Amino acid sequence: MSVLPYLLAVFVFLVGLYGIVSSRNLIHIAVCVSVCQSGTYILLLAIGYKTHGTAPIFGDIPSSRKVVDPVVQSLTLTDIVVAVAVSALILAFALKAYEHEGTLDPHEIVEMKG
Amino acid sequence: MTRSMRIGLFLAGAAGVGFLLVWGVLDLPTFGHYAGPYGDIVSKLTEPQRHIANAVTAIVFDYRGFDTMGEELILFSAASAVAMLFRETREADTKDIVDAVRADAVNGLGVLAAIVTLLLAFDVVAHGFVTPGGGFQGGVVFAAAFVFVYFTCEYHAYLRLATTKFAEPLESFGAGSFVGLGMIAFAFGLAFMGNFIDYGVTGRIRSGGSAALVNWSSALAVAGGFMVIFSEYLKDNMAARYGRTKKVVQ
Amino acid sequence: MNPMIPLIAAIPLLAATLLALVGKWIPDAAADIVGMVAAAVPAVLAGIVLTRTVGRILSYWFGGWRPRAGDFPVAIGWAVDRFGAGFAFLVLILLTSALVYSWRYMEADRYLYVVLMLAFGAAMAAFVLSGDIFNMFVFFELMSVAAFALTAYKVEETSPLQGSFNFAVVNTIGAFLVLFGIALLYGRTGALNLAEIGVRLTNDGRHDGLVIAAFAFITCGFLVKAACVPFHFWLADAHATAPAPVCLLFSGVMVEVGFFAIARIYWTVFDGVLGEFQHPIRDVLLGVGVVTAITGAVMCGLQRHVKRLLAYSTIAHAGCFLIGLALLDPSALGGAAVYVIAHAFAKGSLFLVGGILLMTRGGIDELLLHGLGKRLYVAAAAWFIATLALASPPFLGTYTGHALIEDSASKLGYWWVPIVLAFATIGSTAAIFRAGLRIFIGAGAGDDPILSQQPSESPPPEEDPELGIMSAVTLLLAVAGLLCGAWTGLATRAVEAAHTFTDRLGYAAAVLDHRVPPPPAPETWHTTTSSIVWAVVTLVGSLTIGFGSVYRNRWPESMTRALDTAYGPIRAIHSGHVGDYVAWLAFGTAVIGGLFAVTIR
Repeated sequence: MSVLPYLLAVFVFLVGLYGIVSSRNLIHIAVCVSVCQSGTYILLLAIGYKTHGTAPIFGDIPSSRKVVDPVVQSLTLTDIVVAVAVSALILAFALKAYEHEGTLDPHEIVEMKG
Repeated sequence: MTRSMRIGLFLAGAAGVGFLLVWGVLDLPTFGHYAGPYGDIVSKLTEPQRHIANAVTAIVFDYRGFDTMGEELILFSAASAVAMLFRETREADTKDIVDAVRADAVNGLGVLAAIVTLLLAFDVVAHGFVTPGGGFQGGVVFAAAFVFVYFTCEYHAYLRLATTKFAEPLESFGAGSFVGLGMIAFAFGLAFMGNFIDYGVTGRIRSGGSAALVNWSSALAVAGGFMVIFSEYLKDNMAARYGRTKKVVQ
Repeated sequence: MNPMIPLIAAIPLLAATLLALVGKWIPDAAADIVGMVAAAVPAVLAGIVLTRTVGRILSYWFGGWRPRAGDFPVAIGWAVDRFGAGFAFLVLILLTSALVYSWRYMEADRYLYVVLMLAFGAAMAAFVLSGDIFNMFVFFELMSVAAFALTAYKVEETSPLQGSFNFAVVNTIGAFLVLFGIALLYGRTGALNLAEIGVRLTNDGRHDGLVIAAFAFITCGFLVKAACVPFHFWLADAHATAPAPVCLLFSGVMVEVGFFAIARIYWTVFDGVLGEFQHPIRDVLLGVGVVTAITGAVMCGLQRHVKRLLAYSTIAHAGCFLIGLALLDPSALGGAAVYVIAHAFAKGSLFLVGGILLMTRGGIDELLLHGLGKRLYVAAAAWFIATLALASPPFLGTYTGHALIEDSASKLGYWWVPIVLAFATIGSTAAIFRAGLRIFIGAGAGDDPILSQQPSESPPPEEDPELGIMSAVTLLLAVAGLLCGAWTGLATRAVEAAHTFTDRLGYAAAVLDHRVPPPPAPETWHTTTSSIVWAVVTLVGSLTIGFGSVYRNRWPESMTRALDTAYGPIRAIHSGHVGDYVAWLAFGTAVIGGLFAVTIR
């Protein structure tokens, strides 16, 4: 079944979203955001895969050898750095909220509504 | 909304989103038979044109180097933001906390691991254009070496080595030099981020032209960025644990 | 290739890193000055570039990898047309104003605030100048990260954390949706340059699941940033807690960047292959715009927290921007652009007044500030001038924008659009007017049971606030917003620029084949009677309802109670809980995407 990697990416993304919606813990939400991000990596890398293709590093192999797509790999690399930055921030918010409220429950940190 | 209403709403939405995603991916080229031109063109060009053996690094630092600059700045902004968020606790207040691991074997192995990791970091960065590796990976490994010190030895030693007085300038310099190298190209009459050094020989450390310098900039920026983020979290944690926090204003 | 183009983004970014390097050791005032200069210089460059983009698209290829005509674009290219240059110019002008206003406004470690502001502004400018979809994504994330951080600047209180947490989680998921779209497009076409993707997609010709899904995800992802219903919940939380100069940028340009992205990507990538489906696409997006405009207008009137009130007003106007965009017509698009400019200045000025109130009167709650604004003459003047601008009276403020959108809609057969625009304008501006009356004139009672109570915000510490500078900037922005409607030349230029913007083949030819597109035909301004009529309606409506609501204590109590009950459900939906927001995001994407799937066959 050659669509499985793509379906896996979709599944991981949706699981992460479910985690955020049903969560009772801010740090859990931050990790679920990372899970969603992993779904996007899987999709990107799966798109670029070529059967019998090897890593796109030409030190030992001739240029004519079939390699997987290097562009999606660089996109994923960029994406990972972005994910780190966003996770770092979200976790920092969660930590500060804990310091103020003494709880990590998303319901408890709600001060503004309506 | 009650919890069950929220989850119900979400499941309805997720069903739709899931359907759309699946519908979309089913029309992608079959897994393993990707035929896009971009990757092939770069793979063919990277050695003759840029003398870079690692196509991914060539894209990250050369062909799409401007994206990488943006991304470095994202990491830089995040690190600055974390420093800003934790600014209430001063590093000076935690200077006397030791928080030691009291097991000589662990201490010893930790120091050894830290040193080896540091060397590995330099190796990974330097060979970025030749083997898998590059500025990002090397930068993370570099930061990890310091983290080893905290986990296996003590906070006090970690603070002396990875103080934000060292980490923050490292990170700012890394990010700034990335942009600066782009601008230096102007002095040579080239476009922003144009190459202004000779390309060297494929497969040697000295290859890739000015993209190699940009490689090192990003290594410094990533190393600095991770160290700042980790130091800030750790400082906050230590201060809370050992009672150095100021009174919180409600 | 003009070196000024990359410098527009590179200068503030370099300045930000340098400031981070030395910030701890230089005096705060020096940090402020570096920030102002690093914002003002690129603003000037953007202005110069703007003059060079009349009827042309300037290309810039990074790394010097300029492709020959017909070659595959391997490097990252920027394609600067008049809209892009104009938007970048607007961003940097507002950034400079915000930094001037912030002169000595923030507390210690101010250099980090300036660093993040510079990164924020530079990222938005780069985003609109870019011609490469992944490059746009990278700067989109940079802008978002800086924005999340700036929202949480006042770390001592909890509300900023709710605001920034919700903002971060919801916007990040929006970015994931965009990324899914980018991945799908890359899978089909193998390109990341907007023009190239457009050409390949059109040549391929299929409008199957992949194309529709990509369009749906990219649109919904950017609609999250553009704060359209049901992706809008984060905006009020974020605006309520971010410092006033930051809110100026949020409402002025950050939300609008989302619309710019949708328009840019539609017109360069999807118009070829989905061009025959303009009618259903128009209808779906109009639907979203209408719901957003109405929701914003309704919620706006329920607020007593001034910044939150202004945030919902932004949402109402965002719905109107989307209506302008959704008509898929150059005239309406030009109208939306002018509307954005006038709104940015006027709304920005209102937020800055809020900052002055917070600083001098220690509060941001309309009821608690009752009558306390009486001696703030400049702030009051700015407030009422900006309110007038937003009320869209004939030839002032947002009038030209409204007129262009209304006329375009009528020509296309959407006769109800002026009614919706009027409702949104009246609903939101009346609430702003009411707040102004209560705070600066002391009219009405000090209590109103319908308005939602929010926690108070602590004022920034007073280190001799430079009230003179703050008031001057505030007033200047308000007047600029008002005059936008008087200068019909701006409107005609915007429509001409829109013609270039919506010319997909011209864009592709300019970027890929280095051919100069034919300059658009010059536009002239026509004042229609209906636009004047609607302008008077919105002006009179805003003022009357504003007056009426400030004297709510004189209404019959049964009416007040009935209103309160009616508002109950919509108020409850805005719960402040991030799980609710994400659930709505999923639901909204499913509905919008589903509608596209069903109507585009």
